[in-house]
Amino acid sequence: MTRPQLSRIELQGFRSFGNARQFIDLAYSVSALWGGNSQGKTSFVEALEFLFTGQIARRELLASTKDEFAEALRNAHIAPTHPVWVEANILCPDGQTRTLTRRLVEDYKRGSAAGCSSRLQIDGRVCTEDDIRDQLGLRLSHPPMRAPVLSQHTLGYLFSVSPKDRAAYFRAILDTQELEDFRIGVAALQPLLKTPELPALDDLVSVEAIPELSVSTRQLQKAETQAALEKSLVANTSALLTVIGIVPGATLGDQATQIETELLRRRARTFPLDRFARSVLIAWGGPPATLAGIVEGFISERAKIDAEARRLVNLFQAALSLPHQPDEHDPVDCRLCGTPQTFTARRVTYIRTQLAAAESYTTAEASVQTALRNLDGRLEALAQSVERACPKFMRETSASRRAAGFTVAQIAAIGPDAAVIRGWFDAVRRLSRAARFTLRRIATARAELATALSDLDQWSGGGSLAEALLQVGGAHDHLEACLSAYDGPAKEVGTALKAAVDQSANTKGWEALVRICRDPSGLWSALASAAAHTHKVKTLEKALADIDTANGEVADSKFADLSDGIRRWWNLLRPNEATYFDAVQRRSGKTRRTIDLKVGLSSSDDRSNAKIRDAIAVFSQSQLHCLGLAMFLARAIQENTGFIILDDPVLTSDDDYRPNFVASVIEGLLDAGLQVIICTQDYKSWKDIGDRWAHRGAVQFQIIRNNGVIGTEIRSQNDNLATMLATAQPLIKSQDPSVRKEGASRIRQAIERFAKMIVVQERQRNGELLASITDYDGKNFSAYSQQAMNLLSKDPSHPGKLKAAHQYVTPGPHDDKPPSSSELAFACGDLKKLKKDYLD
Amino acid sequence: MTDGAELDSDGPAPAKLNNTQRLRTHLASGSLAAALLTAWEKGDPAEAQARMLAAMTRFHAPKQVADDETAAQQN
Repeated sequence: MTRPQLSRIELQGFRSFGNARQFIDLAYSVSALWGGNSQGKTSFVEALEFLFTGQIARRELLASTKDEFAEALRNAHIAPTHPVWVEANILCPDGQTRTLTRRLVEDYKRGSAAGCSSRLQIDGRVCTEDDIRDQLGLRLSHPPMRAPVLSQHTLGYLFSVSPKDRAAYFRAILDTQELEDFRIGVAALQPLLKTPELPALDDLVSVEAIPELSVSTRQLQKAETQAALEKSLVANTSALLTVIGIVPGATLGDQATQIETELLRRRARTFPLDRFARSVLIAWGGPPATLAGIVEGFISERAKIDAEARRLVNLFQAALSLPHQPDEHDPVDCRLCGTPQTFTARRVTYIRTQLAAAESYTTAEASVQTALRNLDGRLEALAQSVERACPKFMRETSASRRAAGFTVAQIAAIGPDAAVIRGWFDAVRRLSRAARFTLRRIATARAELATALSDLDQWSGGGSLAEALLQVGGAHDHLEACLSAYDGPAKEVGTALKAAVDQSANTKGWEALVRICRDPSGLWSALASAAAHTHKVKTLEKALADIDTANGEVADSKFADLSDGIRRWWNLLRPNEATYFDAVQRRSGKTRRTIDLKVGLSSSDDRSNAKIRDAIAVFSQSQLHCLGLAMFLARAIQENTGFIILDDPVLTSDDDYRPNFVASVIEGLLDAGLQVIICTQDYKSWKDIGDRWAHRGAVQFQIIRNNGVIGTEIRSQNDNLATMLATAQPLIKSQDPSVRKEGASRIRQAIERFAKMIVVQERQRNGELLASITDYDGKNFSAYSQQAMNLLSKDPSHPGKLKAAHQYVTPGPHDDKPPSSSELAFACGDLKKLKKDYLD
Repeated sequence: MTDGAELDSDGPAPAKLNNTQRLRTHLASGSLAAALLTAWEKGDPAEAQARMLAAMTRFHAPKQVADDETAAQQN
């Protein structure tokens, strides 16, 4: 065996199933469960779906809103604390039997699109969905119909959904979702291919505005080499220069300079655009990290010698550098005061001692001077940078600006609208204030430095300098922010002005031309980058088209396989019909989203000259149902499922086709090695399956639900009394007297069987082990009824109830009037109660 | 068309290809689509996109080298 099969199913609390654990031992061939309407067949089928998938597909397929399924899985009549679970013993492909259990943890909830939650176990150990495949060998399909379970709801779904959803269904059957995922994955690469930023190409677009070009930009883009590109550029710049009356220079660079010079000249005549120019503000990282240490060292050394010694250090150095130094016996005259013979060797020794003491101080003093001067130099550079970082128009007087024609009124007259100018002007004011503030802070810091350098002997050590430098840092940061805020509006104004100026000066595109002529290799590499990008995009588009085509081919071949399978089952269900299923296929070779079901319409039984039409348009409900079943069976074969679970696979109205299903289809399924589990409300089919497939070990059960609290019960076929009552139940309430008459007849048979069973039960208790119901075959009820009533001793009312029930359902000698629904209901209810009290 | 009562065909069944193998038979070898499929298949699905992007880069790399060599020769 290579596929899993189910040997036992147990469940409790799921939908119509109540507190009591229910179980059935299945045949590996056919297991048939019979139950009337609302007895729990669908609950049983969906319990198995829940076991394998943790969900029920009906919620996904049919619910207009998921809220409709809130609290749908737990039996409404059982306590919230009562466990809800479904379990199956599964004979696995490795020959081991394992127990798969799923316990409901949280039911579907209102207002939540998420599914229910459950805990899955194999042989008592928590496991994952993957373990169902890996340990049990059961491979589930893709959602929404993952389990090999066919219910009425899912069968009808296919013919009422949108084409898109139908396509999704078939993808699930064809099991090609991974190919769709691959296609989606490849499509998701497209937005990741970002167009590279290539300013040179933007310039090329701008150059198109120059009418004097001899080589079009389209031709420039087609240049095969950089040399050819440069040659074309030269042709263009030469043509432009010639037209404007300038003799072209020798090289492309020369010509670019000529054009730029003329451009600036022409622009300047219209508007002084150069006033917008500004430099980058240099960075300010604060004073060097070593400064504090140097200052501290200096202060420390200064404290070690007294002020007088520090004051005389230069004098001492000067004395020692005098040309005539005294020796021990030869003092010389003092050069300072002129006193004779007073500059002695002893005094030289004293001076040397003093200088040695001051040497560390001198070194520290030199260091601090160097550090402070360097710092001052950096501040000076910063101040200059602050000036240059401001646009040129801010560095000149208003008179100068007016003289050059740089006024807000002029700007407004030329180009941008008022809102843009206002934004720019606000940024200018903020920038101006920030620049002035920064310069003031720099000046303060430099003043501190000057004070220190001018009198280090009295300098207090840099507390106020540190504070001033901190202020410079803050001002610099603020200025940087203002410059950043200024750039946007300035660019907007500048761009609009340039466009207007170039329009007026007939210089549109010149600036861009100058740029690309200055850097032709930049343009060449930009063209190469753009071409490479376009190539990548087109290649990916082609790959996607190739994948679509190939996916379609795979789908077609799988559809062909599936069509073969569906045709086989269709022909078993409806042999020799002139109308038949032909194929499931894509609507066309190019479509991925629309799947059609094609049928053949022939006027003769041999299906000759058939016209092909869409199934959904021409098939009757019965035919569509049959087609849905055929597709499910074909899928089960294709997916190599070990078992299938069918909920009323043949419509009640399709009596003519039941024998085909019971005989040919089940035979086909068994021959294909599938275990078949069928729930049906058709008693005849159920009986027929039991008889026809008894030689293959078929087993039968009844599904009965006598009251909501107890819930659905599953009983073996031997419980014929329960079956008799269940088959009578639907007839009781009929308005048709003949139907009620049939119901009365069945209840009467059930009452007589009950009486026989209770008598036989008592005889067996008394040692008559061979006592059998057949002992009473052919005997009237009166022959054993009194004996039976005598045994109903649990309640004094019981004998009378049995007698009354029998009277209700037994017609008089000339009584053609059938019992009323009420009488039948009483008879049936009392019998069920007696059965429960004395036989169950 | 026959009734098709037989469900199992006679003779040994050909080895079944899985979906991606079937897809590959319809893609030109050496094509970007085939390279992307290889990248998609092999490895952690969560990193499939990164692998496909790398596959695209590899796919274009030899072409660009060839283009550059051609350009160098022409220059």
